[in-house]
Amino acid sequence: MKEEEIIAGCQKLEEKYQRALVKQFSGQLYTVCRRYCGDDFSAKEALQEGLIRIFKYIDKFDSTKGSFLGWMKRIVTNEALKVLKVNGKMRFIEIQKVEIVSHGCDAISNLHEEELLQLVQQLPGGYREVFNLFVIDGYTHNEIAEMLGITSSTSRSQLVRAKKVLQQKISMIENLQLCRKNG
Amino acid sequence: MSKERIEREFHEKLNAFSSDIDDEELWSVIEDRVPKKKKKRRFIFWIFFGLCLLLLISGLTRINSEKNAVAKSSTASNLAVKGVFEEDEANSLPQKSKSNDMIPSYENSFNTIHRNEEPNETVKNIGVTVQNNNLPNKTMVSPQSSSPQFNENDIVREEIVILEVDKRFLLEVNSDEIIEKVKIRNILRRPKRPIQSSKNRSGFLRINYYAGLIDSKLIKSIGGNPFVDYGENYFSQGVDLSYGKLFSPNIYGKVILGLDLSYKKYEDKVYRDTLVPSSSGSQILSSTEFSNGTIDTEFGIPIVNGVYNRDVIKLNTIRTLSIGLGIGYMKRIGRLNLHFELDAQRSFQIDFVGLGRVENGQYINNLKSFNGYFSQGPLYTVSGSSFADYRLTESFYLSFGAQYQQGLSSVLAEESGHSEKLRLLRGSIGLVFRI
Repeated sequence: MKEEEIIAGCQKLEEKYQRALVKQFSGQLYTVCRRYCGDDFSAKEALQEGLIRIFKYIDKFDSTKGSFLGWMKRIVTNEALKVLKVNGKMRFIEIQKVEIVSHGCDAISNLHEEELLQLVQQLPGGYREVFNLFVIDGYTHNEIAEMLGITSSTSRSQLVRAKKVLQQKISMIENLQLCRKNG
Repeated sequence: MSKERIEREFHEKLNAFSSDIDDEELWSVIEDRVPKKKKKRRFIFWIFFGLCLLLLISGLTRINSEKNAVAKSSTASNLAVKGVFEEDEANSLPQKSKSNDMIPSYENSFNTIHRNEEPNETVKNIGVTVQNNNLPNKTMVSPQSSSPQFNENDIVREEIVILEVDKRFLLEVNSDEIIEKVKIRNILRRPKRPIQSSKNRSGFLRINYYAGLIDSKLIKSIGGNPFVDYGENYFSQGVDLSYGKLFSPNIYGKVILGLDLSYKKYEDKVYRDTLVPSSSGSQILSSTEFSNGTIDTEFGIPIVNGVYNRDVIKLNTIRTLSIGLGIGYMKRIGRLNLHFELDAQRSFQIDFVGLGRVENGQYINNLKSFNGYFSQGPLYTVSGSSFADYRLTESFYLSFGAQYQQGLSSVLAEESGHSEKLRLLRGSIGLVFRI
């Protein structure tokens, strides 16, 4: 079913098209929720609330301002952030400085999407949100600051640390792969 | 490995990645809460159709009774004419003939008086033409067999009195003129319908204002856990319009159309995830307590994400439209009519609007409340009422009463796990018109 048909059908509140929307887009939207939420339970909660909100406000969607998927992702992102706030999982913490030693193995290229997603999910609260918003969803630090109620400098520092944590984990994976390679 | 490389890898791989999820299961979870096209409610049509039919029948009955009254009155007038001339022939005219030479003799012959309202046979039996050589057609009425079905002696007598005057001119006016005069008089003397006593009136229209206490609780199962509405009901008011029709001297049926407003109070907190949309959001944002709030213009309206907990009191309004049927018993004691009624109603809760008041007196519109988790829907109720109607005039009563209403399980309870408990006790004051 075409995206335009789904949008038009959902705007008319027709169940057939609402089901089609869930079938067609729930996987990608669920990925967004999983990226932001540390666990699948919270991710599903955010996805449900996000979908309800999408159906409720779909008549306000304006295709001239952006893609439908992008619009839905923004809604789901907001819902995921809300879930995190409700569950008190959004904390901005300091961690020790991480030393990263690269062994030259291109581990990240060998990682599947699911594994990358798990790496993101394992990031501490605060780091994860900023990393997702900045790296994957393309928000600026000012926008992130406004969305999360933090300063833009906090957003920058959180991003730097998030990337360091990821680098550290990827290095560990590289080391493991090297060990396997060397027997 | 460079940070840019990591960013690029994550962005490319995760942006388009689709996780596995059972969309059927997901749909079944959200299905109840997804806004849907409203189903056509055919029964509403049938209720209104029935109501209209009832009013139509009632109206037709009324028109028929009016026609009968006119017919009776008209026939009575004819009888009156007959009676006048009968008397005239028996007494006055012969005497006049003796005393007045201008009228030498009478020759009875039947003459048809054309009256549209009457069958010709009857008219033929009534009309008598008085032949007078000197005067052109003088119409008189001879004694004929009277129509057995009319006993409107009072009206006949009344007509006789009126026509007494005409008797003086009887011999001097044209018969056509007399008939015309009678016709005109009948028209002028309307209403033809005999005055009914209030006992004969079988319908009444009642308009009542109700006010009293309400206790209503919404219940829904969310994730297997029952969530009960924590709002505190404390006041309900409404207006009912009903039409009743007596089947017997004491028993009647009625149809009801009601509009109610019930108020529910919530004592709540604004949590940091609470969305406060609307124009009043800016008020909250400017206050120090919400200084960490953010604005989300996602849907073109400002949304405040409040960060701190704050106590609020919300007053919700439940707007209900109800349609019902009832049966009642009426007992007359002097000027007082006592009514005892049992009604069954179907209600439609239209809206549920909350207005939040924060401690410092600020108001917040559309505050996320318990109602946000519940769909409002139809509800069946039964009620028992008693009224005391005091007769002020022939057809106008002042009414006082009381009503107890009990909600039955909501239809939604069967469909989606919703249910609602409703109890309502209220007094009433109203007006009743006998029709």
